[in-house]
Amino acid sequence: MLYNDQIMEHFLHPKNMGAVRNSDGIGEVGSVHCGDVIRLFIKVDSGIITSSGFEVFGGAAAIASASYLTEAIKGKTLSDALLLANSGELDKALGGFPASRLKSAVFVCEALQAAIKNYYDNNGIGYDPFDFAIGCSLCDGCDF
Amino acid sequence: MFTYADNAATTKLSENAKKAMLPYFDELYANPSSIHSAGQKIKDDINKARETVAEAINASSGREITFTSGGTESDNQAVISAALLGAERGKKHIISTSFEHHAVLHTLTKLKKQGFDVTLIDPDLNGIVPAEKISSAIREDTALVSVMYANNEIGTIQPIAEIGAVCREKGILFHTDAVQAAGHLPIDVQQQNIDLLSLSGHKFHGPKGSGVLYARKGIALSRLIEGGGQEKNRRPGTENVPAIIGLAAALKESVENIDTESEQIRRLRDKVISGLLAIPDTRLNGDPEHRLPGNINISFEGIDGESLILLLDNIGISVSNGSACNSSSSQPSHVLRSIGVPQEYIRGTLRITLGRYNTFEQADYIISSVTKIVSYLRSFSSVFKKDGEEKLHAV
Ligand SMILES: Cc1ncc(COP(=O)(O)O)c(C=O)c1O
Repeated sequence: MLYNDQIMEHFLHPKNMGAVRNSDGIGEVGSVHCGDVIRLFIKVDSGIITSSGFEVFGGAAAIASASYLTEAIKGKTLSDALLLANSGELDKALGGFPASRLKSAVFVCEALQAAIKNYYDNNGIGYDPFDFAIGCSLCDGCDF
Repeated sequence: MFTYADNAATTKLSENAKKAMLPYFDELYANPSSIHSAGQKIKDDINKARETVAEAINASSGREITFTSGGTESDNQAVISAALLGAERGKKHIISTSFEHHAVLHTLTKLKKQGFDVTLIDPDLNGIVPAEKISSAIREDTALVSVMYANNEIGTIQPIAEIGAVCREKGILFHTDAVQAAGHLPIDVQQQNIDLLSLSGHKFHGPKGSGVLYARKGIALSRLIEGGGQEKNRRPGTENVPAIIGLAAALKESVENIDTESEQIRRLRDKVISGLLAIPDTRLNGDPEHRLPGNINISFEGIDGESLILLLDNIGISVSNGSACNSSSSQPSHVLRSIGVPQEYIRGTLRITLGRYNTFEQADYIISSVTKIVSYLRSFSSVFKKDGEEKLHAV
């Protein structure tokens, strides 16, 4: 099998598929030419993510990652969600991705970062750009 | 319902081939090179298999048949032998196509490094390389033309008889990789002016690891490896006897039933094609008429083929992605690009290849399953335009 059971479980039974109506932040990452395209939506109430959803053009790694991450950030503060996006949590929780598909998981983390940034920008909330600049730790050592 | 629809990758061993092989795993185990009667019996059986293969492709005698380990070895040996024969006469130019199997393409890459000049012709947008494109690439120093009979990815059939005629007229060796064609399309090496031809047992319900290289009388094959004098000094090593017997039995069976079987598979194919083309924003890749009876190469806009394949697999349907690239690479297929499949479609390509053991029920199952899964994946696609929504342009 290309993917482990955890990834397959999320891929076969994904949560939060589709756009979120009247969302407060949207992050889009990727390109049809060179990889997956992830669009991630968040709804925010008093600094807490109340719902989240995603659209994806990609394979099982992208769908499983987006399913996991959109579920994991619900009820979290924006800064905790950002920490999650920047940690290796996704890789750990899903038991590791095949090297050739790691990029898909990275894109999903970056889409979450982009959605949070978009929310801050939309609402005139200041932030430390460094929080967004460090990138997803999954990407440590990989050459994308 | 388990539905194996990846017959271009490999086929199920036929009962007849299996039965023919079984005695050679136990009772009939002697070495065909031994001079005792047990050994000579095996030698005779191999030669009978050789005659069977010769007859199936209308070779003039079994002496033109060499058994190999498969399509890959046959392709390597054919191309290298022809290149060396050319080089002996100062001819170091080879013409082939850009969508050959890697067994040919990578051999050509190696020859290029050794000083050969290689011209690769692109297929037209219908996935066919017209004979005129080949003939206009021919030069004074052309030693070999190698064009596959049918493409493994998009299934398109190449005009090999015409190309063979052009080559014969100009005294250039012509090799065809007939691995995907055998058992489905007529092969007549004399009428089609073929000098060298590759077959692979496991693509026509024979065993894996078995192959044939046909070389017309008078064409000296070079050995790829050194060793004993088996296969008339062309292919050293003790013969894989069960595989040889199984290949011949499977080829005979396929060729005997070629008309009825191809017709049956073609009907299934056309049913699946029309069923799937009813899905909006879908395109069939490669010429609809001039394609292998079992090949369906089809693209769905806005979704990723890997997701589609894994979801089909989850309900028992084995198909492949449309690209020649292996499952560890997500690089879109150069074949699909070269026949002009638009970027938004390429990633969502499936290769469904039907065969002898597929049924109408399975065809219906494929159509309904693919239809459901495509619409499911599109429902949350980031690039597919949903009803009443502007297409959001991805960067
Ligand atoms: C067109 C073509 N040529 C050659 C081969 C290689 O054959 P084999 O698997 O017997 O080495 C294949 C099969 O993968 C093929 O489709």
